[in-house]
Amino acid sequence: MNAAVLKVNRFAALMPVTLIALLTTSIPIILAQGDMLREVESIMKDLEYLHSRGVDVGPVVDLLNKAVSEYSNGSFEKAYGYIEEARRRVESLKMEAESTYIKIMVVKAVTVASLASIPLLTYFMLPRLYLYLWFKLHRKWIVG
Amino acid sequence: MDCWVIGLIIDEEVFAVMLAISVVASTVGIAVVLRPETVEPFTAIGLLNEDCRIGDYPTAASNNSFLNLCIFVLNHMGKPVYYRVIYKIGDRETIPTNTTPSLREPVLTWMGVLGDKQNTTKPIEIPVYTLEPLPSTVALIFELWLYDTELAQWIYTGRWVHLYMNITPLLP
Repeated sequence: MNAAVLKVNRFAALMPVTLIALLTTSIPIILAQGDMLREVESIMKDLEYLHSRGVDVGPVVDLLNKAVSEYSNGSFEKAYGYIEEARRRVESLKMEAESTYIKIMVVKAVTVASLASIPLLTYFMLPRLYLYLWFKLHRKWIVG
Repeated sequence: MDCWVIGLIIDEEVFAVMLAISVVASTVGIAVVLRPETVEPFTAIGLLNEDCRIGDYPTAASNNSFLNLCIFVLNHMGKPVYYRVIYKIGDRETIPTNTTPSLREPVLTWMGVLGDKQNTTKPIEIPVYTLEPLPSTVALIFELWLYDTELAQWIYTGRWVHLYMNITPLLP
């Protein structure tokens, strides 16, 4: 009887300790999980910016997708690793985003200018080209 | 080169037609180069059978059982998206609309990230149950939600699929 009471008392005495231990170990995990999702959300904003600048974000999208998938399966460490890698790549892509955008804009401007010059070239060059070809084809003709 | 000189070399009408063709070709070319990549952004969600094909969907299941299906998600938003497919069990009165999601509580959620013009097909295992008296008909509802980076919150896209299922006490 005394032993049983002692056991119950011990259990009761250990309860707060157990609860505190559980809380201190689980709260950081819960916070880390919340942070992880917030991190994905923050990277998504960067991805949208990079995509709008014409940067290829395919590899980062794959990494984030893997991270979310691992997170859903409960593999938080793996998920965190993928997120870290995605964050690193996003930071390096951000540095070249503006130069990529300028390159795309320059190529676009040159293409548009070339296309716009087609009617002008047709107006000025077509008669000359026709005349040149005509003379080339009829150079052996003799005017009687 | 003056017009009368051009007239001597090429017939004026032929030259005018060639010039018109070049103007049209140039305009079309410029429009193609300058048009936005995605004219009408949209997303899509699809429900597939356990072989991840359209059709041959199950019509009945026993209460508290599991079903294997596939979910298809397409991103054509012109940007990468962070999506969420939410599974709910409802009935004819709690089907979502184009503007409002179903009022039922989520049972399961699948998340993922898709690039522009990418799609994914996920095999899923879903619980099927009802608290109504059996036999009963339930709607298995799958809603597509996207994370809006500007508002920093999940937004219902207005896209959903549902499958009516007869719930029986025990399938023969």
